[in-house]
Formats: sequence, structure tokens, C-alpha cells
Amino acid sequence: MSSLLQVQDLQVGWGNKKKFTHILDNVSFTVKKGEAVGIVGESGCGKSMTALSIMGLLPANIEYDAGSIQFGSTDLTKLTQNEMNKIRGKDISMVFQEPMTSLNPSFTIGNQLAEAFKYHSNYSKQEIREKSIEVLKKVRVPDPAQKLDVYPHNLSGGLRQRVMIAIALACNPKILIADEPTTALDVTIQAQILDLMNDLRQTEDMAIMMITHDLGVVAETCDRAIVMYAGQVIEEATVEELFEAPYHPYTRGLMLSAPQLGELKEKLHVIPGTVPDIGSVTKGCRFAERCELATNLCREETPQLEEFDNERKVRCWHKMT
Amino acid sequence: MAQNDMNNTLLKVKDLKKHYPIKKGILGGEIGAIKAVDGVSFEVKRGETFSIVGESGCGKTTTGMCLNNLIEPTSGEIYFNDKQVSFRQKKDFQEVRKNMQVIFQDPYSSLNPKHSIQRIISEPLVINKMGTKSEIEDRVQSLIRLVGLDSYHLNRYPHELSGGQKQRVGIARALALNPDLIICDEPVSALDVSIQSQILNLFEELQEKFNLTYIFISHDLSVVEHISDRVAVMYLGKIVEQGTREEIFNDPKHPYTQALLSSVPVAKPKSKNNRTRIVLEGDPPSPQNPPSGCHFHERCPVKIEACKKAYPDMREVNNLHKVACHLVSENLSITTQ
Repeated sequence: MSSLLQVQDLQVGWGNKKKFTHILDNVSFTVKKGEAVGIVGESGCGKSMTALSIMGLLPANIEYDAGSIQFGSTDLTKLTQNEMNKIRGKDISMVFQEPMTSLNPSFTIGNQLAEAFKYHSNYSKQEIREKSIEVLKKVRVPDPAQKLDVYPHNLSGGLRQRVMIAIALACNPKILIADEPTTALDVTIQAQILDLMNDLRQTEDMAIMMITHDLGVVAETCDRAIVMYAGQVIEEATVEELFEAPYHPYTRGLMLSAPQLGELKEKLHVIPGTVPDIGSVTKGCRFAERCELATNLCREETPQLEEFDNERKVRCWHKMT
Repeated sequence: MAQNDMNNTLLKVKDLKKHYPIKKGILGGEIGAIKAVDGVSFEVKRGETFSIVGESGCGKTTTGMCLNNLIEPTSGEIYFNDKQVSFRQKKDFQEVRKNMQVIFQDPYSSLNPKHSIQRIISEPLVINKMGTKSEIEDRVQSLIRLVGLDSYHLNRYPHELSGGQKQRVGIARALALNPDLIICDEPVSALDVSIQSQILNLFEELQEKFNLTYIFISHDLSVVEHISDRVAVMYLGKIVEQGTREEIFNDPKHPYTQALLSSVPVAKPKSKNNRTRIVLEGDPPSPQNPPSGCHFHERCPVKIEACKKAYPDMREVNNLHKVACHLVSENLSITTQ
């Protein structure tokens, strides 16, 4: 498989020349054609910011500092808004977390679906309507023709998320970025949406970047997983390897501290303390404060993301094996 | 989890209902009702953790809030410590509330941002006149340490604390009056995984120390399996199955419980994961207009003719394990897989 998207040493943050605070620090990873990659981490680890930097949707005061995002032969960080508009929604599209707030309440579903076609194709009104019905069918919305004329508040949360996915799929994107697509949904609806995304990945031949805090979701939908902590990638491995034997103590802690269905434990594992504030750790490993294996080396020297055999990477001085 | 006094019933709920009237027109005539909670009965024993699980809109929170009259129930009987609680008598439920405290879901909105932590934790003590000023201060000092914070936190305001610390303050406030029962409404769903495990462990430590009884309301089945002694599963305002943790998680009888359990994603690679997932069709129906017969029949993969006609009675599979399903009462085997 060839690489489709390559993020290289990406640095994103805010500030001025004197003092610049990095939210993302040296983030590097690749997404291959047709692959599902999971980005996992707790709130504030930079996983959503990574997605927004790829989409070129960074909030107003936050900017690219260094690094590149190669998509084919273009570097997305160098594009103007106009050039980005041509890629966004066509080659790369995104599904957001909250289907309740990411659809516009004052436009019909048909209207919002048509927008994607209007920007990226020359279809006539009639063709757009046909295409819209087709794409709603693809995401298994019952009664698609009638659904075009209803407003978002008429739909349930699960259906709204299906519509969001339909809008993202409208122009056959090469990559679908899904930012916590099922977090706001109930488990039985979550199962439906995950099933749908798995199927679409096969039929549409697109890559999926799944951003989530739920290790279970990653295990069930992804081929490869990237674990982030405090703005850095700390581990990358195939899902099989990661759950078999995590190398980074944080990944291991995360797996042990979440209760698992069917695996009763007397007491849950605890990672002491909380995630450090952005920019508060200036030297050493960012996890050292909370790590049970931390030594003086960890507190003084920053570990690098090192690659092992089989594209497995970890950022730790004392990787567990 | 404390095992002593297991046969001592602390709370008994009988046929609890909460119907919200739907009004229409200038005169506000009632044209129907949303049955948020529709005939829920259960018992909670002293020292145990009783969980109520279900998806959004199933009535689990409303049930919890009805117990201490934060939401006034439409009908039903509640016995606390063998004494019936009257919803109409303010004195009556105020007395009960002392022994029945609540921890809310969102620690960001359940603490008053204008009050210091000191004031937030001492408020229940002040309202119930539990001693002099200095006694209350001492009590607050010991409470804050009990939940793993330090006395310097008392002078802070909620916005200065992290989510996990705020939830600890919520727990300290609930413990202030030495209650018998704590209703925990989704206490860890707003927290990150690594913080969630800290709080869950704290719940268990406190239960052991003070022989507390919890009613744990949650949608997260893996958390419920970890913390509960007994579990009730709700769907559209009714309990569809209840039993001990082992019965519900290892041998679920109701098709909805089976589907619910199989929907939870498990953090194991696909090759190690030999579960088959039951994917339910459609969405839960609206409680304003529930389907005839069994409320679940439209989404049920194993429905029979009887399911469309009548709501099934609660049947005992054994002493503690109860199920409301026609297939169980007719002794048909339920295998949705």
C-alpha cells in the first residue's frame, strides 16, 4: 500500500516570536491507501487538533509552526484557504463528534447535502437530488427521498450522524477523518455506525482516520493505532501488536485502568495525577511525572520516537517488552 | 463491596411512575403523557451497589431523581428504612434526603462557581444545623482529606480544579451528612479513563469504610460490571431485566440485554475477539408513543406473535433474576446470535 497522507514533524501552537507554545509537538505519522488508522488519547492530548490541522481548520489564533502535511504531492500547510477549499470535502472530508451541533438547524438535509456537490461538481439541480438520494442510501438512511426535505431536529442522533457521514462521502473522498463519531451516541446506535463505517471502508475504498478516546472502538475498527499524550505521538503499532503488548507505560496504564466487559478485576489500575498543562513540561519525558518507571534520565532528557522492526514506534527510555 | 447485612432492605420502590403531561391548545388540555418512568419496582439492600443501566431516554436518571423527590413522582410507593416516604410532606422527604445524597454527572455544572470549595462542602452541614461553626470546619477538613484532596483546596473555587478533583468535591459534599445511601448519577462519564479509575477506586474504598449503599446510574456497561452487586436494565421507562451482576453479564435472558452487551466495543484485537455482535435495527421508540405490546418488539431479533399484543409480565428465572419477556415466560430458548 502506498502512503496517502504523510504528516512530518508537525508543530502547531500559539504565541509570538518570543514565546511560542506548542500544542502539537513533532507529530509524525502516515496514512496509507484504504487503511483505517486510530488516534487515541485522553482529552487535551492533541488528537482533535491533529485532525483540524490536516483539514486546515485551525482556530483563529493557532498556527502552523513547522513541519509538513503531504497529501499526494501537495503540502497542505502551505495552501491558501481557496486552494484548501478545493481539497476539503472532496479528497479529505471530516465527520464531527456532535451531530446535533454540526448540522445547520435552519436548512433541510437535502440543502446541506447539495452544498457538497455544488462546490465540487457541475451537476444540475435534478442530478444533485438523485446523487443525494444515492448517497443517503449508501449510509442506510431509511426512506431517503423523503428525508431530503426534513430538518435536522426531525431526526434522531443516529440518523443525524448518518447524514453527516453521507455529506462527508458525497464526493468520494480518499480519506475520511472521523472525530469521535460515536461518542455522543448510545451503545446500540454506536454499534450500527461502526458497522456502517467498516462496510463503507470496504466498498468505497477510502482510508479512515478514527479519532477517539475509546480503546474498544479502535480495536474493533482500525488496522493501526497511534497513541498521543500531551501533544506528542508516544506509540504507534498495528492494533494486534498494541493490544498484545503495549510498549509505552502510558498505553499500558490506559489499558489496565479501563474496566473491560467480561474481565473482572478486584481493583482498577490507577495512573496517578493528571495530564500536564500545555507547555508546562519543558524538559524530559512528558509522562515522567505520572510514570512508575521514571528515572532521572526521563526527567532530564526528552525521549525521541524510535522505530523498531515492523514499523513499530515508541517514545520512551524504558520501553516495556 | 461490603457483604454484611446483605439481607437488610434499605430501600424499597413499588410501582414508581413519572408521567409528564402533554398539553395543547389555549386551555392547556392534556392530550397524553410521556411515560418517563412507568411502573418501576426494585429493592436495594444495605451495603450493596445497585446499578440501573440503559440508553439515553430510558428513564434511569428520572428514576434516581424521583427517589428523593428532586423530581416529584406521579405515583408509587417508596419505603426507606421500612418507613414510607411521602412526597407531599416537605418535612418527610427533607428528613430522608439527609440519608440519601446525590452525586451528579457533570462536576462542572453541579458545583456553584461563585462558592469556595469550603462553602460547597459545608453547605449541607449548615442547612441541617449539624454543629457549631468550628465543628463544621473540622468536619469539612476531615472530609476533604477523605476524598484524597488537601486542605489548601478548600480556599479554591471550582474553576481552579480539574474534572477529577471537582468530582471528588462532589463526593465529599455527598458524604458530609453521613448518609446511608448515595445516588450516583453517571458520576464518571464526564471523566477521562485514567481519572475514571481513580474515582471508581475511591467509591469502593468509601463503601468499605462506611458501609455505604450506592444506586449507580450509568450507561457504561463495563463500569457497571466492575462496580455493581446487582443490576437492573431499563428500556423505555420500564425495567426489562434485573439480577445479580453475574446473572446479567454472564447469562442475560432478555434479548435487549443481550444486544446491549454485545454492542460494547471491547479493547481486544479482532483475532482474539470471538464475540458476535448483535446489531439492533432502528432507534429506541419515543416514550410519547410507545409501540403496542412489548416496547422492544419492533427492534427485537427474536420476536414472536405474542410480543405485539401484550406487555410481558416480570417473571422470575430464579430468586433474584427477573425478566420481562414473552420468550422467557413461554420457556422458549432465546438465542439471538
